Amino acid sequence: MRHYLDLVLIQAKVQKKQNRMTKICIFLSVFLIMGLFGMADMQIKSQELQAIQKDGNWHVVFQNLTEEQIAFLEARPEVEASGRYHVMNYGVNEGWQTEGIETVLCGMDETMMDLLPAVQITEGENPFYAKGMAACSDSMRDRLGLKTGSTILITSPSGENYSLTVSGFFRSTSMLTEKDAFALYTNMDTFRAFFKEGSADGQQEAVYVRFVPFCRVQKVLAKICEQIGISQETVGQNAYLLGLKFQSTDSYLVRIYLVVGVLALLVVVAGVLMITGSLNSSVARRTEFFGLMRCLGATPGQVARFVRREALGWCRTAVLAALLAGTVVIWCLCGWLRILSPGIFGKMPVFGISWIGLLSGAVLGTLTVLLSARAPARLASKVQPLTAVSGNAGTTHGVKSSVSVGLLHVETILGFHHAKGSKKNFLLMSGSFAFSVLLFLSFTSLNDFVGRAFTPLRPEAADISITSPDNTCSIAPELAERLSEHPSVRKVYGRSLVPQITAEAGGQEYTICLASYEEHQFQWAKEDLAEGTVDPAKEGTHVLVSRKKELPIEAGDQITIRTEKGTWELPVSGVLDTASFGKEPDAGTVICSEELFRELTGQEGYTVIDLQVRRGTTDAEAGELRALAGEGINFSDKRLRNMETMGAYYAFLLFLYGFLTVILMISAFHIMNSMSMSVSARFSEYQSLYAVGMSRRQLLSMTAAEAFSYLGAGLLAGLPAGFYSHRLLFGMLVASRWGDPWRIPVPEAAVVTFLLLLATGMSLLEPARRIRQMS
Amino acid sequence: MEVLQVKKLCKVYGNGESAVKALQNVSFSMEKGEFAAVVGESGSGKSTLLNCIGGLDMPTSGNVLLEGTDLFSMKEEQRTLFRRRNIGFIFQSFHLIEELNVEQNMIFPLLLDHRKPDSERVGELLDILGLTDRRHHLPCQLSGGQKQRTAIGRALMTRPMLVLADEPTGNLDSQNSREVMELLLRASRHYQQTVLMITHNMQLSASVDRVLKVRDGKLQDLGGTAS
Repeated sequence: MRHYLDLVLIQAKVQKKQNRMTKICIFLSVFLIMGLFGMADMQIKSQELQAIQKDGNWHVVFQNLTEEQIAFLEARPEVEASGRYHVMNYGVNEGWQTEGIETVLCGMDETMMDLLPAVQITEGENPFYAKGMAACSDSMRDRLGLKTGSTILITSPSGENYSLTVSGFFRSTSMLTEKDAFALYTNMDTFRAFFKEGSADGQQEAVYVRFVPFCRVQKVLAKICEQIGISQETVGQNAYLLGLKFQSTDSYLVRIYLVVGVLALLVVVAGVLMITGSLNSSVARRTEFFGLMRCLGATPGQVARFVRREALGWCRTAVLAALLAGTVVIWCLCGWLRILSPGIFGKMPVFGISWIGLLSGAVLGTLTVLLSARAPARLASKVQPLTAVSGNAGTTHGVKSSVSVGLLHVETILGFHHAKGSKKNFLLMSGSFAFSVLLFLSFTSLNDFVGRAFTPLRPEAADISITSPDNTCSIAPELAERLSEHPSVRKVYGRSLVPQITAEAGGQEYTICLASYEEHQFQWAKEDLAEGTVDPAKEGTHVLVSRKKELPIEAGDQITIRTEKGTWELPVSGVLDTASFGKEPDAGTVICSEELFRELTGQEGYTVIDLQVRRGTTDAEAGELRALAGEGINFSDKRLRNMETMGAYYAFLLFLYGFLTVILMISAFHIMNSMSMSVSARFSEYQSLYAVGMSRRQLLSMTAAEAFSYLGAGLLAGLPAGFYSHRLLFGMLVASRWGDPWRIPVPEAAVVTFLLLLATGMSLLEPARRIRQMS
Repeated sequence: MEVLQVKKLCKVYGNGESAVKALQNVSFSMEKGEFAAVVGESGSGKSTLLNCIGGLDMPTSGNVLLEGTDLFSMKEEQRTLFRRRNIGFIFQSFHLIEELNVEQNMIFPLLLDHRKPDSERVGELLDILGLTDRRHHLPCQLSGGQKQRTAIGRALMTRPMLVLADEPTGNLDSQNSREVMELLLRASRHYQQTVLMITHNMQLSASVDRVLKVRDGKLQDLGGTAS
């Protein structure tokens, strides 16, 4: 032993058990911080993978540049990759067809393979080295029976034919499967020679650009635009990818950054509060020891240094363990994502290291501990030397008023009195409960965001949609029956739509879209019910309306509908927040049963038949469904799009619930620790009360009354604060984008109240043990 | 040569009607190497006097001068430094640091002062205290007498000019009490350290140079021995 601070290490070896709780608190805090940044890092990486797969690995796209401008652009040191690209029939409605099927035609430089990874060749070779070659989507291969070397004939809208040789195939994108279209690409020379002359759609040649990593995209872009003399507004941006790289100026993404920042701050504050609580507890337990140090000549500064060094010592093991645990958790999460959605997350590393997570965990974690150690260090340094010799350590509560015993038992009254005896302690304890509620409710606002942002996850999301090409009720209802018999189909639900119907309510005339729902859709509509009931509409006696400014009707109102078949006055049984099906822009939707629909319109067929298929349905099975649907319909395969969204959903879900779990653990530990600290501080008083005849049960009741006083006050303060924070974050994430009205998160508040009750109950276990062992 | 001067020391707890005068105008002085015992009934103010002289407690008024330096004219930090270099404390319940062994407990005040312990001095003290073979033992492995001898070693390690002992034999049997007294006498005689000791044991006070009696916060100098 060469320095008085060596005592820190000596004590750490001896007092392993006593220090366990503090180490757990540090571990959890650092784990939470590491988790937050690590999971956010992985989340961003997974989203980047998805965004790159879906929209391409490019940052900005320039239209219609001259060769000189392109040369200037390519010579810029900030440009990592660039390529020319020209597309025709991107909207799949211009009449460029292959064997009668709309075909998207692209011409591109070879460098675009890097910028658009979705068009990588999966079979055969790319078409860049010879004129007249084309790479085709795999749907063309499967449906037209093509092979490498086959010849295809492209028909232009004006009826001209262009012949190309197939060099290879690439995987169809979700957009192609959804729109049931083909796609092919050639090199730029072929494209210009074959199609550009015949192009009448005004599409321009584009140059896609990816900048070098860590480049400040917006700044560089502004500079480039200025130098080549074009307006920055004409330059397209891959907003989502840039957003994930924190390079976007999109106001919604900026709001998301802000929300993440607020949540990260709350997490750090939670960490600081918890570690401070734990260190305070440790200091309170050792008041006499610090008094002795002061007696032996330690200055207040030396005592404070001692406490800080102790905290740093705990950091060494707890931070390392937390970083390790955080890394393992991230590995598990990545592994889980890979298993859940191999198509999307297959490229995620199994044993990936989140350097951002590790660095932020280590640096922020240590800073948090040092920050947290300030208050306990000050507290320890204020211990008077007399504390050690007077024998009064731990009995220094300044009581200013006497207890008034009323209707309750004296021990309960004493418990309440203990709770509010010290204003500072009461505020700290109730504050920690309130903060847990605030943190929990703030994070649950993300739940609404996830629910809104990933609509295919809604139970009514269709995997395959069969629609009438002209949006009429032209699909035979028997088709729905035939489709339901296919082994891969889980649910079939059709609906008929008639837009532009005149309706009248409250003396005012509206244009509505009339939609028929069947059983499944009525069932799902209950989820969106804002007022009234669904069942009378399902039975065919009433109708439902979707809440819209275009149709301000309430449940119980009457609506008059005028169709070719006559005029009908119908009662409204319920109002939906949103109509999942049959949405028409600028028109309200009136929903009725199929029978009533037939009566009102005389139409028998469906406009749309949606299918939900079993998990693992193959492309061949989807092909069978297409064959069953026959010709003359639009067949939209949304499985790939749904899978992409599901992937993002799972990633968000893991992120969100992982956090909520750790937050709850933090809250539980914090509460348990705080109660343990409170009991430690009063233990000699409890012993005296026991000596004068208070039973152990009464002592425990007293402790419980104290704990529940903190909980009560914490809930009183925390719930309004949590609601406010929830409303604020909900506004930023959901209301600003989808316009949903905010509602008090009652179920979430009930969950957190229940969990805090549980944690408070658990926090009494240790005091109960100590009281049982009291002699 | 006067080492300790206590001038009109007063200590009042509480205020108004509930005020308790623990010390009332206590004045006395002690010479270098003098060994004095403070006697008195429980609650008479003995410990308050010792704590005020040692700078552990703040008097309401009055002065405590050690070799002419007024303890309470200094700021807290300065007083702590002065205290650890010039005053040694011995307590009734030893107050050893449980995680440190005998030798480490003894050198701890030196380490607080960022001084390197002199191994010869440590060896000499351990020898005098009869703890050489126990130097690596933890307090929980020692008898009461050994613990108190360790505490005495700790108090003497910094060679303080004043040693304050609050009932150092209160928790010891007669044999150990005698040994502790011998050690304190040796500190006074051999090392010329001034020792002020609170005791209830009249037999022990017989071997000191001077006895001071505290009653209701007032000090009475009984001279050579207690009566």
